[in-house]
Amino acid sequence: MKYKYKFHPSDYELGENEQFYSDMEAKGWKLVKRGVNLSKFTPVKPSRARYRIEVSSPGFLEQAVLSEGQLAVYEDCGWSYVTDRGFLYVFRAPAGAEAPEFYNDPAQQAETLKRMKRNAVWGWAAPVVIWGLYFLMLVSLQGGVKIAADFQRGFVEGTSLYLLAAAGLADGTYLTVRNGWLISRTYRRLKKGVPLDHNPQKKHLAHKVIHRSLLAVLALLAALTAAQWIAARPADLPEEPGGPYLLAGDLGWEGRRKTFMNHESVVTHARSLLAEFWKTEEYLDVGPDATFHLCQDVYRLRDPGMSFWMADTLRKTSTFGRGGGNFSTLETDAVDAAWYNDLEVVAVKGPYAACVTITGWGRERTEPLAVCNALAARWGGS
Amino acid sequence: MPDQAPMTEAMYYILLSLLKPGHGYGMMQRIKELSGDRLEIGPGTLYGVLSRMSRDCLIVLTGEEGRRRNYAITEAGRDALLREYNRLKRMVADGSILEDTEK
Repeated sequence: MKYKYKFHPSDYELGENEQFYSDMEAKGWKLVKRGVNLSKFTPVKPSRARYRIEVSSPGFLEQAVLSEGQLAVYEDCGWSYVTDRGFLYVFRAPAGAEAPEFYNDPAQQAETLKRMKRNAVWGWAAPVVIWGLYFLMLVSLQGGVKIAADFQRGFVEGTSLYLLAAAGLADGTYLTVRNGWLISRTYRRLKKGVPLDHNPQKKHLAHKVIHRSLLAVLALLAALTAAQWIAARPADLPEEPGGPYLLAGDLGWEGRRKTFMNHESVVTHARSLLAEFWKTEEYLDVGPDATFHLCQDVYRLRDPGMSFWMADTLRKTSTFGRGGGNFSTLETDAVDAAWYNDLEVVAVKGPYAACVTITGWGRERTEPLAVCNALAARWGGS
Repeated sequence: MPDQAPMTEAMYYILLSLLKPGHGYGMMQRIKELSGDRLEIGPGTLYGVLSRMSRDCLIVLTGEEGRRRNYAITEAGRDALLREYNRLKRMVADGSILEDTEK
């Protein structure tokens, strides 16, 4: 069986949906099922038919269903039930059938929209409130500075993902506002005694342009995010560096690579809209009862003006930096600026910014200056 | 007894039709007949009014025939209908001066 799927008007455009289904049947496509965004049609001989939508208006926590008794009355009157989705029930009557309109009194029909009206507002407000509470909880547990820095770092690494979320939020907000406005307008008109327009002629061009543009942006950002996620798989750390990061050998450490707590020596290389970056982990046996662990986050920023901002973010998000307060400035000409603590070095030069963490046990400490010199040598004259 | 709010036309005719118990579609047919084809109640209107009157105990569900539900008027419904009828009758009587002014 050949089916056709088409985007239908939003749930909050009752007359537009009725008109849409009538038009489709006139073109030879009869409604089979209504989904969230798409409706499914089956081919038929083109014919004129009336479609009407009834809205179920359940109480709080009640299911949005029309009772069997109500469906029976509608069917007795010549309306065939076709499908339902959410609050909407779609009925059909062939042209010429003497099926009466659902409502004699528009004000009574307005009562059926009350639940939809509430949902248009709370359907969006509830998640916003929940996320707001979650965010407040994070701020109280971790502190605002750390969360802001995590957010900045996440934005650099996953720019398209953050923009995707922002575009989704923008589209969701736009649709919520529009749906709320549409259903409130319909409700007010019905309350005033104006019957529902079953054949609206308005094309809603501005809405189509805004919504489709946002959807196109969402699709593009989703593709970018997926491409970045697929490309950013960890690979075995090579013997020779394949990017502007260090290997243990660059700091004078020799030894056999080993597995540490199920972690292998790996490098993850990824690109975002703001930066190209490498994250490495290297674990070496460097002698009897001595190990050397080198972990790095190295960024080549597309805008070199962002590298100091990135270094600040790296200090605030570092594992041992305690929100950035546990760093001292390192005096060196090898890089543009550097900071260090017992286990970490943050350095910046040209478009590069890096946080290098050296841990392990049973060996001598690696001097921060040596790390800066090695980074400067790797980053060259940028 | 407190004053009763005036009934809508749909409420009045639905109660009137339920003097003889019946199901939704039967009520619609009976209303059409009672009003001399003047009033055709839509299924949405009918069902909304039935639910409200059922909540207010003016009618009662008496049984089901397949998917159809049968309703009957209650004593409270009959009283309310009678009070509305008397109110309308008084209104018509009060309006009879119109006929005098027409002459």
